[in-house]
Amino acid sequence: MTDQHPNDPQLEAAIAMARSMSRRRFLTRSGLALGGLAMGPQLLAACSSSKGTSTSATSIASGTGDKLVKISNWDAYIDQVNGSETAKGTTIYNFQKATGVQVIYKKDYNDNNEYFNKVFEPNLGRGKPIYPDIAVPTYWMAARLIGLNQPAPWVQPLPLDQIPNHANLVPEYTKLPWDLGAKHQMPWQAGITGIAYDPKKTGFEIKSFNDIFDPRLQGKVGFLTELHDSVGLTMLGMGLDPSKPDFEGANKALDKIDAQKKAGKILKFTGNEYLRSLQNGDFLACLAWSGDIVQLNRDSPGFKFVIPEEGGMSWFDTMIIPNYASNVPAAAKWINYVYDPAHAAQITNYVQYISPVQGVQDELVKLGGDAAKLAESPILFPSAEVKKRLYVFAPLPDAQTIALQQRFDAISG
Amino acid sequence: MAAGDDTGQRKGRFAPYGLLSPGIIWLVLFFLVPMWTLLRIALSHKPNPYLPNYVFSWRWSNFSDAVDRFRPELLRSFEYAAIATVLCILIGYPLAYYIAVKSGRWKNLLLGLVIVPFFTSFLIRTIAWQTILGSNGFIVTSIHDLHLTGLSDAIGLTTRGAILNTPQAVIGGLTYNFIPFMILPIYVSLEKIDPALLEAARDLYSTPARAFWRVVLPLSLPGVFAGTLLTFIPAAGDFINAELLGNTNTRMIGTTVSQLFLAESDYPTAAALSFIFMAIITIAVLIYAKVLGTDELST
Repeated sequence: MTDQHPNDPQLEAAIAMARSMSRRRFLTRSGLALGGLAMGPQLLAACSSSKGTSTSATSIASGTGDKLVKISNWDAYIDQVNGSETAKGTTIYNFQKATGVQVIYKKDYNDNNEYFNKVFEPNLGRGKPIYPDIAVPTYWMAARLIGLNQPAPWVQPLPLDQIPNHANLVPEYTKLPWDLGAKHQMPWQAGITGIAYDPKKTGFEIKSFNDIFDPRLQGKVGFLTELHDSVGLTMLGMGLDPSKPDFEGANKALDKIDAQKKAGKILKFTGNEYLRSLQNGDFLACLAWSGDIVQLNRDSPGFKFVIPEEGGMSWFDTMIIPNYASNVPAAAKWINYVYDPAHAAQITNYVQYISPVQGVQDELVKLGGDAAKLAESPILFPSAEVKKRLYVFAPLPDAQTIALQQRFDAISG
Repeated sequence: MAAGDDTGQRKGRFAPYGLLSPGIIWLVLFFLVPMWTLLRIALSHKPNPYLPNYVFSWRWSNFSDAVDRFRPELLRSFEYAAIATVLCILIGYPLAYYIAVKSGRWKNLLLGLVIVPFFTSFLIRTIAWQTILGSNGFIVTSIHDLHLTGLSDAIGLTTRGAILNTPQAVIGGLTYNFIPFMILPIYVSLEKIDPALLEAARDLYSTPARAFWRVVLPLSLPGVFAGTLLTFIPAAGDFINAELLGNTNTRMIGTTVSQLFLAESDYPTAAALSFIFMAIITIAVLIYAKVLGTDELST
């Protein structure tokens, strides 16, 4: 019993649906993907350990496999051909051809907290390996994982000697206080959280974050279930700086969100399913992730993504190699491969998020056509001026983070 | 002789236990053991929020904290489930009556139609309602085009012209999803009623309405009772409808528990909340059984 965690298929299906497959999903993947999910009994089979005994493993155990790499990533976060990530011409296909390493690519990283509570904590917290060799948590989760070392470090240092393309990492990412030199993680993609809306439907331009509380949008506004985004943007709207640790300020922002929710201004807090709500008119405006809106406009043009004049939140999802991973050399090959600007450009061209790899802009120009247009996109390649208006949510002490998360969950429903 | 009789009796004495053992093993393994684990977790605390270590500490305050934090969700769950159950009876009883008594050769087809939705996943059906009830769905656009928004708001069908993401949608979804569990037991109990009883009532100069009220309804109550339990209990604990069809002010207890488990990793509070929920359900069912009388269930 000791290593079980809640694992009700119906519960998982519901969560998966609630997050609408993933945080970075594309519209073309509708709920149909869930068709195969059988409904389990509705009993919540909650069964978990009450003992915390763990083995005395205290060090990094890394496997030496170099024929196979297992990756857990967010859904629709890599290029596809005809709806397949492994079809001819895709990054995965090319990588397998070039290196002879087989890739098992799972799109099961749906939600940071969920993945933490279901995969990272119950296994790494007891000194046991997890399935993937590479997982792609969001920066704040990566920071938490890198900081955890009981019973042994949860994340192993990257074998940088095997990743020469580490030099292509955009230098800002090497200055993170929680991982100086980017020795434990290398970003996969980055993005901006701002506001998405259709000016024709709202009838006015949204400039300030506080425009989202305009009476004309009463009950038609969506917030994100991601605390850092919703609270961060609200803080910016209130003139507070989320990039400085400010527990009081975050609570003030929660007060405001709570009040707006109680007043019926905010319809829902969502994961990626906000795209559907935006498309079907349930939301007139909502907090949104930059790449999604670029994608959304392919299907239904007219939506605008704005970084509020007070500022937007920036984030990134980053590759880590968990402790006990069995295929470290293969994982290093993968990371090295996607840090080649040409390969990174292929992914950027498809997913339309901000690449952490230097030289992608030039590669996109070389690709020509629509890809070359992307090279001019202010959302994919924010200017220095725009970058000044982007904030990264500052890490807070654990107790404060948990208090905020609890309060936010209570509000967001 | 006497010894042989004894053996026979002894064999006879143990046979029922032998027959019961699969059920008992099942119950112990999949009910009592998980319950025990859940109870231990409910009385534990987690010293480090990010490590999977639970320390059993007789922490009864988990229960009071859970009630303090989630009182609105608890009340709302029972409120929505009660409304949905009543709606299920109001819609399901006439339908079950029609199928059992009046449908003739269409009976099997109609029963089949009641069950057909089960061929698709519960989740998919609920997601389908998102499209139907959404702001661009035909229901809302029709109401809007007919300029009936004011009227539909006034009668409580819509809230500010919307159906999706309102309490109405959540209750509607619960009703829709659980109504077969109401129809089928009522159908079974109505089916069993001997038509001779109604003939006797007619012979004794009873009006059809009176015969229904005095004969059919009482005899079908066990079905209503069973249907109510099958509807109310899962509806109160449901977390799909509130999550998919509701808004931030319609969260129910099932969603709360799943969030505590998955988003907050707060197993002790989640377990305590599950126990509180179970206790309330048990008490409610006992009271209900007392009022309606469970002995009728055996008939």
